[in-house]
Amino acid sequence: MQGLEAIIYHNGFNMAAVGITIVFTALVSLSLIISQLHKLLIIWDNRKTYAAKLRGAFTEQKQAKQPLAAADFRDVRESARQFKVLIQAIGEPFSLPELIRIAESFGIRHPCSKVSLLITRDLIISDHKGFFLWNQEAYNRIAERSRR
Amino acid sequence: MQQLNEQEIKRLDIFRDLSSEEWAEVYPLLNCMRTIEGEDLIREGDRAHTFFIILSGHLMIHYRDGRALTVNQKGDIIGWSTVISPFRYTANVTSLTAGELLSIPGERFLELLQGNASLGEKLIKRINETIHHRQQID
Repeated sequence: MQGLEAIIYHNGFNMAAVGITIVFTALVSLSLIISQLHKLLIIWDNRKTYAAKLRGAFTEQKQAKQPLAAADFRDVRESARQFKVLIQAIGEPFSLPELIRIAESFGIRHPCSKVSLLITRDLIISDHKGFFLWNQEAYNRIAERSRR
Repeated sequence: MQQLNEQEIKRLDIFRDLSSEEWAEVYPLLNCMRTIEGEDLIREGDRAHTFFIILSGHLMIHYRDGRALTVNQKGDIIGWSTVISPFRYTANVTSLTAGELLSIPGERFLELLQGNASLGEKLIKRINETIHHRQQID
């Protein structure tokens, strides 16, 4: 038995088809992995943020259930209290990225969004030269409201 | 782009002057992307590969010497180095909050500006206005 007859008898064509399928499946899988690699790199670059979000996921559920205005006010007050101490320590005017870096090193959760909150509430204001200042008057207003 | 309202995007300052024909050339280049808190969107010195337009969120533009400014206005632009030689980002950009941006691939955006003089002039004019009105820290 020789030639095509031998190939057919020993399932040669079937084996060739399986081989081709295996190779192509592997190549497609590899290309899919490579095409999504950039997403993994983004996650790796921002691993601290993701880790913080995971850690905070459960504790924040309680806050979300409370009335928005009260929770919002409490967030501002709490963030203001934390960052006031930090800013007093580093002095004014201060660098915003430096403040975030220090807040992160002190274990303050979500330093970026807290700084954003304080800027939108005018507690942190620009000196128009690229650095920032603490707005004590705005802080006093918040402290006054919390005393009521 | 299905999740975006095309008319709403067309009303953004940067696109406001475009004719229907010009808009038809720009719209296919737009991609929507989400950012997360603390995400480094742009690194100073990197090749300027993408032009961004803010839809929502709060971004911090910061320099090596510690200076920074923040932007959170809808329609504000980031990464104009994509259309200005030497096509390298001149600042770092970090997302302070989660947000949504429109992104345009830099090379295709530049080709579009160079290939259509009228459209290029309108967009560059709007980009210049946005930069001019932005808080100056130099």
